[in-house]
Amino acid sequence: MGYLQKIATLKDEVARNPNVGTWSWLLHRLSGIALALYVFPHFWVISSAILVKPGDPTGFNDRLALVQSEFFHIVEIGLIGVIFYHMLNGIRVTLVDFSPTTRYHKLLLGIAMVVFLGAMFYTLYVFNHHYFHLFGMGGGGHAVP
Amino acid sequence: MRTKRGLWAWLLQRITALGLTVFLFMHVQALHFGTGGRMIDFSLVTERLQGAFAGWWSLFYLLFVPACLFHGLNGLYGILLDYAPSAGFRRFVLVLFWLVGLGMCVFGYFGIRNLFLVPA
Repeated sequence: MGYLQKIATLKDEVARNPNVGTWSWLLHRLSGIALALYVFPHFWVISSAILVKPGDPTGFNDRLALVQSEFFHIVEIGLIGVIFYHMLNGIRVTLVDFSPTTRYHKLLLGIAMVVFLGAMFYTLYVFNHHYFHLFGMGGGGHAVP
Repeated sequence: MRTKRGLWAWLLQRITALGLTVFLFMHVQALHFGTGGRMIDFSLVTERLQGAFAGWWSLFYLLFVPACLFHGLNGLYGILLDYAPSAGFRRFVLVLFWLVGLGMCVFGYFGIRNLFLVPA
């Protein structure tokens, strides 16, 4: 079987063990792949903009302005969501690995997801205050192109 | 589908995970939540990196950059092992990931280093 075919069988993994833990495992894997693939362009965008002319803010500022449009601020919320999911589920996985909480892994997932929802509401609140100003909230942030 | 992985790969994945939890909280706070909506630019970044905590921030990035790369690449490598690749391919990917990881680490260090330099 080719690798692509094998990756397509991820849904079989869920079908074999249709529990909430398998879904959290799948989401952890997908969010992990997304973050691992994110970090390389992130390093490239930031580092290459300052590497050639140290002390010259122009190139750096132009580069960073590119990724602070309204579109990228929305993408940023998604990125923070992926980070928070992977972080909170990762804390749960680590707790289950190192402490006798294996029997409570579903409860821990529930707690992690409640914290996740709270963190995402906070993120939306902060981003609205900074950039979007819906419902008449916030203001004073940089102009979003 | 599960494959046995090295103890060190597993343990380092957990250690970097705990480090990244702290690092990413600080990173997200400094550059996404705590900007007050100010445009992120050279002055915002250098005010932080060249301020009173410059030494602590350099230690932060000294650890954050390799932890990030190790956790990401080791995670991808672990996923690859789940699909039982041939020994040759596994070895190829392992060498490739180490080269890419070390290269990106040096690249990131040199980039960030320039943000700690006070403009002449």
